[in-house]
Amino acid sequence: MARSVRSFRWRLLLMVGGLTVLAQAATFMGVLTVLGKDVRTATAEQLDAAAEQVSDTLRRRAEAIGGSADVLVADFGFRSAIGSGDRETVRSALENNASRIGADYAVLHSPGGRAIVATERALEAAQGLPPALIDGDPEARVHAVTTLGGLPWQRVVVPVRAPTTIARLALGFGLDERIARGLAESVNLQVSFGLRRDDGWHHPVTAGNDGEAVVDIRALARVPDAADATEVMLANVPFLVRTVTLADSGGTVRVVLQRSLADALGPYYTLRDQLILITLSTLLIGMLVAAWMAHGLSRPLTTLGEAARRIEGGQYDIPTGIERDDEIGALAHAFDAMRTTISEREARITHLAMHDELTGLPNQRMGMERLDRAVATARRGGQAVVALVIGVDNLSPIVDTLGRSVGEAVVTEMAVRLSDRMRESDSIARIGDDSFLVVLPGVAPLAADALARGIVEAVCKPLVVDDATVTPSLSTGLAACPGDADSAQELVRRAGIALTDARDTGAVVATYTEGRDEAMRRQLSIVADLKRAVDQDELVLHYQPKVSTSDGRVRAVEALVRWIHPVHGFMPPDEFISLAESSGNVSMLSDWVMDRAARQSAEWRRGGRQIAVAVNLSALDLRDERLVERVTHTLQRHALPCDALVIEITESAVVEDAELALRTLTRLREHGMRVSIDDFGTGQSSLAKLRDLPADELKIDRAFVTDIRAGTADAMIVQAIIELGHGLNMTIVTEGVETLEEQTLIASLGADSIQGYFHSRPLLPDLLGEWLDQRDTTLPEAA
Amino acid sequence: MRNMIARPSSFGRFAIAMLATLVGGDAFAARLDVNVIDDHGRPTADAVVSVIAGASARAPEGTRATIDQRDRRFMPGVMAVQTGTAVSFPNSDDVRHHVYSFSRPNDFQIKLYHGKPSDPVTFEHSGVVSLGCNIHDGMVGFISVVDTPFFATSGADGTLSIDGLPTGRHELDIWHPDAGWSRTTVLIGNAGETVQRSLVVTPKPAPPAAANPLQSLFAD
Repeated sequence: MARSVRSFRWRLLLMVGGLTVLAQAATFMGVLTVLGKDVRTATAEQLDAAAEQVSDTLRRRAEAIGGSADVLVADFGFRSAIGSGDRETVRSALENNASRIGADYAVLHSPGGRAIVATERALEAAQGLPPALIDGDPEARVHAVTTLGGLPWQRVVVPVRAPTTIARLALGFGLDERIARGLAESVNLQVSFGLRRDDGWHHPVTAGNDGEAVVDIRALARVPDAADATEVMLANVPFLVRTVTLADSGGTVRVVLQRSLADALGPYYTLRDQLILITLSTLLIGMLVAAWMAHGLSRPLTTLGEAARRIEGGQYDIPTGIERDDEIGALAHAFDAMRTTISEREARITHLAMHDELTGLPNQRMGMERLDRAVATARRGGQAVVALVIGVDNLSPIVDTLGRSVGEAVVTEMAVRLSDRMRESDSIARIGDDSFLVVLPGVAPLAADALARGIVEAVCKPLVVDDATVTPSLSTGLAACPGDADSAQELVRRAGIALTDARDTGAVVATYTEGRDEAMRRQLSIVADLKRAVDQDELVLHYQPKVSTSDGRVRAVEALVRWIHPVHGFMPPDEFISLAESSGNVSMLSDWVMDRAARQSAEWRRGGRQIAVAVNLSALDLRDERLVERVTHTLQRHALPCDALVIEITESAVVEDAELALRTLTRLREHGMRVSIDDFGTGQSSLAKLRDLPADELKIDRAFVTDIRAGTADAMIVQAIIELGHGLNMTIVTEGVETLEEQTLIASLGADSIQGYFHSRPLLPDLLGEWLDQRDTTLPEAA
Repeated sequence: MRNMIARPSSFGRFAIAMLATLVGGDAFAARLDVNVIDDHGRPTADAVVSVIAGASARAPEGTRATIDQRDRRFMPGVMAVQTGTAVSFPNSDDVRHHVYSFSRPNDFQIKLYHGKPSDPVTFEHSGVVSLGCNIHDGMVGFISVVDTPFFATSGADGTLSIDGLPTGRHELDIWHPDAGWSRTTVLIGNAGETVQRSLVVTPKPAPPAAANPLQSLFAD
């Protein structure tokens, strides 16, 4: 987290820093480039202007000299002196007048140009008489710059007319250091005069304006002729140089103007250094500001990050702690609002998750949690805790008759009443549509029953809903820990089982009895195991013969299902069949039984025995619309005639939902099946119904047969039933005949067949086969 | 006829050829007719021809000549006189003139005021006298002072005549402001003969034709 913040900081810093540097650098470069160029340009321009000025100055000087010369040669006195023809006179006139006008140089030439007389200085400079004038025209007025004695001379030649040209006067001024300095000062440059010699340029004169370094004269020799300002290095110093070749010198004399760029660039360098300084300081300040800003930004971000983590962890109570006016403050404010909203929402959801919406009571989960805690507390403290599961028995009827809203009102009222009865330490939860869990810690198990009763009685008073008076009927199951259970789950389950028992027995309160849990669990496992047993042939059919009393032959057997459970061993059929019925799995069982029986019957027929197999069906089978198809399909599958199977059904099963049962049985008989009513005499069928009973056979319940003796009421009843059945065209079978006396008596009473241990117990097919074989050998041939 | 030619300081190149024709004259004296032309054959005025016949002769006493100053010009511009002639400068102009010459030994100067007659200047020595005006640079005149009585100046048509020439072979000098001096000879065979000659005058570019007072200085 710190690293990411730092990288944001760094990025901000880098960005600001980068921007500053860029901006500064751009300014810097731009300014310096322009300045640099500017300095050079300015210097070049200065040189150009100076060149103009120098040319101008020299020209004007020449004109001035010419003017002086004109004046001089117009002077009659001068002309007389010249006209005297006397060398000395002429020389003295020359000297005198030359010095008068300040000319260093005065030479009198013949009209042909030859020098005749010269002033002292001229003689000195020329080391003798100066050379003849090149231009031969005596009338010519000439400006020229000549080289004389290693120095440049600015010279004017004018004709001396008296009245015709008698001579030519040359007046001149040396371009010496004085002149150079004057020029240098006026143009603020270094000025040098240079003479061209065979070996190059020679600069005898150079001057700079005061204070400026004067470049070594020898270095100047390497300066090229440059009409444009050129940059050269003179003695390792950069100079901008311009030369002006004096046209009237025939290209032999030039003026060199130079400006040290080092000096010119002085202010440029100063500015550059200042700019660097400014850039660096701006950079530094910028970075500092950026760092400060980044910190100012990243701190609230970090704070918000921590706040977010807190929220993630479920901690909603700590505010962000940022109070600011700006966007960050607004963000923090929104954050806090979000926090509180999430907190509230979570609380609501949690509440909803833990509470029943209708009654507001804790729901099952929460109820179980509380029970958990109560159990743990009780066990720690060595106390007891009692769990009550209270159910509203008649809720479904109430909803069916009065509507769901009434049902909800009832439940709500029950919740209220029950809550009112709770002590501080008690807790109540709605754990089902119609059931509540009440946890009573610290109650002595012996007192629990009475306590529960008290609660229920107080609560089950009538209530009025929508002008209807409703009386709830409550049952309670009770279990205590320790004693009935050791954990919350066990406690609740067993209290629930106790409730079931209470409902079954009609008691208001029932305490859990030991073993019920196991018993119920066993029952559940049996149901599960039964399905497996059907699939995996753990079931087996035994066959008990129905022996005819008339000829002793066996024409039918009853199929009885037997189950050898891999764990529990032999399973009593009463148990698992009734479990199958009550768990709704009986048709699976019945299908299997029918199929097996049919198969066996087919096998016997193939072996030559025509034996009908009677299978027991349950009331549920009777109510199945598809029963007839199931039976006929089974017969078809095994290619059996329809009288190969006999359908046995108990009398009480018929009585239940009699109409449907009768219809089904009728259809079965229409298809040719034979129907046998089992356990006849114990059901609640009326004699009137008997008339309509679509049956072919009645089986008298064994209760009537056991210990039957002649002349007893049992014998009477049996006889009556036999005659009744015969009268209605049914055959009669008696079950449970075990002794000879019973058999004799019953046979004498007229029963058609006898089934019982006297003859045989139920046998496996192979054993039955053997028994039949054995019997056949003892019986006379069938008629 | 004699025309004054006001010559500015510049002149073009031209050749002057003189054609002299000899024209017959009386028994004692021959006559020389000269036709002066330049080297293009054009008639040339203001050429002074002097014949050296006999010894130098000074002009008789009282010989006068005049060079006037009119319209800031010397009139005539070129005049020949014999040595000893007194030349007067009347100054008919309405301005002052300060006439001078540095032509030694005939150098002089004279301030001429309007209306105020001045003394004549006598030229004792032969030679060309260049006349200038100190006030007016453009005024240039020439006096060719010869010490022979036999001289004449060519007119506008380039002709001149000299009478009374003795017979014999004589030196003939021609001077023109632009051409300078040249010398030739003439033969007078018979008295009374008229000799005609043509003389060519060729101007020299340099040095200038005018007598240069500094000549002596040029020499070295």
